[in-house]
Amino acid sequence: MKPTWYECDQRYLPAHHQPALLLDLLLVRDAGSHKVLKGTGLFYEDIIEGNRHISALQFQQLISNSQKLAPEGDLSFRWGDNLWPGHYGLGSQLLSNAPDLKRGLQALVHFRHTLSPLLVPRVFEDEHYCYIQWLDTCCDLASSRPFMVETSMMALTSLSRWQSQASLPWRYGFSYQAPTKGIEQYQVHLGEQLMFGLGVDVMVIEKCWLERAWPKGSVTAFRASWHEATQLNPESNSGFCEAVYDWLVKHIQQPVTLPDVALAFDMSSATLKRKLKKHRTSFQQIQDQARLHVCLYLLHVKGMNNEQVAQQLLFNDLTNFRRAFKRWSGLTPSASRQQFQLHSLAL
Amino acid sequence: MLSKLRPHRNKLILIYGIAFMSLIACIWVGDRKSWGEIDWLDVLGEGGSAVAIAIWMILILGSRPAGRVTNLLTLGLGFMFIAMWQDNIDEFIRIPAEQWWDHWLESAAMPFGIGLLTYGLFHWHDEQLAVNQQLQKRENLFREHRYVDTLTQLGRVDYLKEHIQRLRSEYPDAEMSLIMLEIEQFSVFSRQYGHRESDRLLHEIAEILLLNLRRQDVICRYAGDRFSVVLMDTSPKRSLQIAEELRLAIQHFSFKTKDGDSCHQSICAGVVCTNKDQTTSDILASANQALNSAREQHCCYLAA
Repeated sequence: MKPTWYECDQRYLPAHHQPALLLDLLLVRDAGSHKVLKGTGLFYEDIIEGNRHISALQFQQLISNSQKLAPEGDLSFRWGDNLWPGHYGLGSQLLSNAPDLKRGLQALVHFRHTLSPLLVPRVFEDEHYCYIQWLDTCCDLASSRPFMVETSMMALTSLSRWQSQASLPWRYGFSYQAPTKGIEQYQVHLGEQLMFGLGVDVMVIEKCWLERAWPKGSVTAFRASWHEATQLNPESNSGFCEAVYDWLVKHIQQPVTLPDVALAFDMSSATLKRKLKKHRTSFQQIQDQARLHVCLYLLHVKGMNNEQVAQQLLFNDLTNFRRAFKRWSGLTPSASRQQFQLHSLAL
Repeated sequence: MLSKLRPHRNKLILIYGIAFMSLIACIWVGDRKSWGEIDWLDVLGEGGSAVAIAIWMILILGSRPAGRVTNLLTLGLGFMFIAMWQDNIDEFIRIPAEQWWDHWLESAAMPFGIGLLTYGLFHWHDEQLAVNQQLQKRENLFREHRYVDTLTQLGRVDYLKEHIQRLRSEYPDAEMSLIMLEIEQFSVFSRQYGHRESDRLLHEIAEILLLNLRRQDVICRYAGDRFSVVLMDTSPKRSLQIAEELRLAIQHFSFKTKDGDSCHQSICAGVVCTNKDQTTSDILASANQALNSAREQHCCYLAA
């Protein structure tokens, strides 16, 4: 089946939803709306009118402006704190009716293109833990990435706390190194269980929390909305980069080149390259990311050793695997394993 | 900036009016010098000084509330500006010697301006001492405006860290305690009333905490809804007592939401006493740990 996707310049995000909330947070801090909206091609009236749609690229520009205007470093957390369930249509309705974390995540993943358009959640489970990985979907977020990771992780933390009326024991892993300034924001808003420099942005929780009932949810209401949702759009939408990433992960055990992907996406190699460039990324970048994430999954979640992982990913020998892994993540596989275990996740 | 200058309109009109009128008058009565006669070094020196003084004047007016001290500083700089300006005009236009006012503007405006400025600075000094008194619990030992939290007007965590470090190096043997406190169920409040109301709540709680501290204590906003108080020369028992007083003060504070409803809050606080071998980050880590214990017990908790 030919993959379907939305692209970074497609205007489908209602401007009066998540962007308006961010704008309001900034206006309270005396930032002029023209400064916040600079370079987005939007006016303040567009956002409050309530019928304009913006693209992922415009949204990203708005976020990168916001970062500059709020040097305190708590904007992402404040935004995330009030982001979900929100009032963003069926997705929000599902979130506020979710009877437990498992179904909350189900709704979040299905409606990711409206609830979490720039950084999407992907859910994995092993014997003991549930992992929520956050992935750039529509375009490479570059320097806005930490900001969006903070927002998304805060949003899920806050949603689960609000719906379950208790703080859940989340643990957080970040692809980037600990920030030199503002680590206190992480402590206060997310808690003490933080792991930096992990190569992937992930939240971890014991599986027993998945099915613990959320007092604010309702099984009946959730089922009815879910039924409606899957009738309307049975397949949920992916961002373009996410679609390429997914395809690459699916074919990770084959030697894949750019023309193979172009063929699968029913376009010429040149078109694929151009589209990737438009999304501010490249084939190599997505492939490296996909392979690193699969490596980390096999190493940490599946508990494989280096030989097994190297074999799975078609490396000729261990040295090559180690070298490639170091290039992607900045750590050797064994150092990465050690770091992950240091934080007592594997217990 | 423009809106900030509006209250000072009259002073600006006076200064720039005199400058402009003297320019017109000089053109009227004097003759233009030829290019060769102009001393460009003088033009650069005097003209540059005039421009710099004009900028200082605008900066002072833009950053200060209206009042006596502001008037003195502005008029002082204003007359200095006029003297420099007049000096500079002379470089381009030859004024006949019988025009007494030109010389008068040039020579008398400067000492007059300097006199006003000196008198103004003297009062500014007094005023600053009074302001310092008001700021005492927010800052002590040093000032760094980049470290001030815009919402609560308290120091941020950078201020806290540097303050602890300075205290440690200046008074290595003193007893120092740290209270780390946070608002209970702040996220629930923020969901119910929105971020504007929760900003206001943080601001008001910061004020209440300030009122309940001693003169020598310093309070900072750690991050989010977490605050830290540094207590010098204070025994563990007294520190816990102060933390308890803060808790009671917040408990009795009824926050009024924008609809006029009363809303009560509570805080929990962890207290640690430091020893001189601890680094700043150790102290903060142990204070956060104490806060975790306090949160579980919904009270003030003194770490052993």
